Amino acid sequence: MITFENVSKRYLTKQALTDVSISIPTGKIIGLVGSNGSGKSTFMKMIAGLVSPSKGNVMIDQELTSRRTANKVAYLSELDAYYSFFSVKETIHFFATQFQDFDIEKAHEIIDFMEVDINQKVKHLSKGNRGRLKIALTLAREVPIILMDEPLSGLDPMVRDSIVKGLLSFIDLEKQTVIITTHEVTEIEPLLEMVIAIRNGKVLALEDVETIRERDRMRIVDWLKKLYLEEA
Amino acid sequence: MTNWSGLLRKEFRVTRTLLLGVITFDLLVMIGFYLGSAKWEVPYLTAIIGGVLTGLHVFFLPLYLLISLNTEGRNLHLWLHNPQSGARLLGAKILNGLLALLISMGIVSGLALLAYNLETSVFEFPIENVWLFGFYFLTVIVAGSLYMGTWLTFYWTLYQVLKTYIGRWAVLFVLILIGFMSWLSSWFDGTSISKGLSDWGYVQLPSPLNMEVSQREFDLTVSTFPFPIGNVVFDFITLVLIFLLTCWLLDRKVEV
Repeated sequence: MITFENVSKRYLTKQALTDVSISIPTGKIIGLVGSNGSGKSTFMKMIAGLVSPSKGNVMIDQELTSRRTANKVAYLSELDAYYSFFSVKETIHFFATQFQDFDIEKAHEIIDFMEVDINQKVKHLSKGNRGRLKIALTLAREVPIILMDEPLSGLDPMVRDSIVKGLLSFIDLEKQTVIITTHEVTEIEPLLEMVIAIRNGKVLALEDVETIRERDRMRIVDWLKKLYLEEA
Repeated sequence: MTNWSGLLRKEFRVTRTLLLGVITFDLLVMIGFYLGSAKWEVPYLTAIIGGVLTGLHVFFLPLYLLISLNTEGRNLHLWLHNPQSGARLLGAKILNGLLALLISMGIVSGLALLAYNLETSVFEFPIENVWLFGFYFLTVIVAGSLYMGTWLTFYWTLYQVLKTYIGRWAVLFVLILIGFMSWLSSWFDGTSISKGLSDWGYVQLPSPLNMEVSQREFDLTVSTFPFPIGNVVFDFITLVLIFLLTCWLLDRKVEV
């Protein structure tokens, strides 16, 4: 279980998170939604142990997160960053050497599914194909927690649709918790089981998507708008 | 392939172009001076240039590490989202840099030695054992480069930590710290504590130099020179502590 205990994070002049306390259940696909600059990326990086709280604790299974939490967490960054000198195949092999849980066959399977040329240099890939490679590298890890920060960013609608459909087949929901941030909420809505709403560094709600649909008779975007209005 | 060899392979690829550039530069300078030396008629010109170029390799590892670390710094999460320890991440860079240093220095010093042996000049260097001289010289260069490289890695990592909190002021802070540490180091060298910690364990090492002092009824050949082992032990412990501190900063304090 991922737990935030009174977590605040302040950068130079900006308060990124304010007194966040939340427990995130395991074995779910969870959407982290909020406007730009609401603290989504900081929230994800804290779980990955790449950012430390200014106050409070972030824990995974009662253990404080740190950079080496990478052995429990697969993190897909929103940034377009790679070792450009590697080919796709070499990138997969490099990741396989670094992460013991990396399933090289699964990586090849996802790359094939996404129709990316395995022999091409990463620097020569289109932005869309680099995005697909990022997704393959993340989903090929057999870890309890998968964090995907804007995985659909920069991909065209056709590609996004095929990736969203493919996501389910490459995730083991018996063992894995997936947290996804995206601006394309509508596109991933069918995947999501729970949703966390965040605004100005504060977590507004953690809710079952089913409850939002049945109780509030709303889609996630409308529910988020309603929360934002109530908070304003 | 193990995670260590995977890291080393990646490090090699990060700086491969740089290494090829340095080797090309080495060869062009050495061959250029060898071809030119016949015209300029300066005794041992190529060997001297080779010696100077070899000496400049003391700056090789710090510069190499700076380039490699800055490459990672542009995509810090890509480097740091890795379960390997900071010691491994940094160790792979330092080892790769040392190997590159040895390759480049081996080429330059090898060509310098070759040029020295090919030279036929009436002028003679006061070096009796060229191999021993070369060994001492290269050891000093490698040790000096490793020393500076380790400190550079520490300052770079400290900068990465500080920039999260003080932004661009982190550069100024680190530069001031470098100045302060240089002053502190030279002040400390003059203290009795420093002498107690490093000025011990003298051994006599064979001298490569041909230093004969001859007067009437007095003949002295300097065949050995005193060397304090304590100095090496002190510097080694300092380096290990700085490296461990750097690894701790990388594992616990650097944010992306």
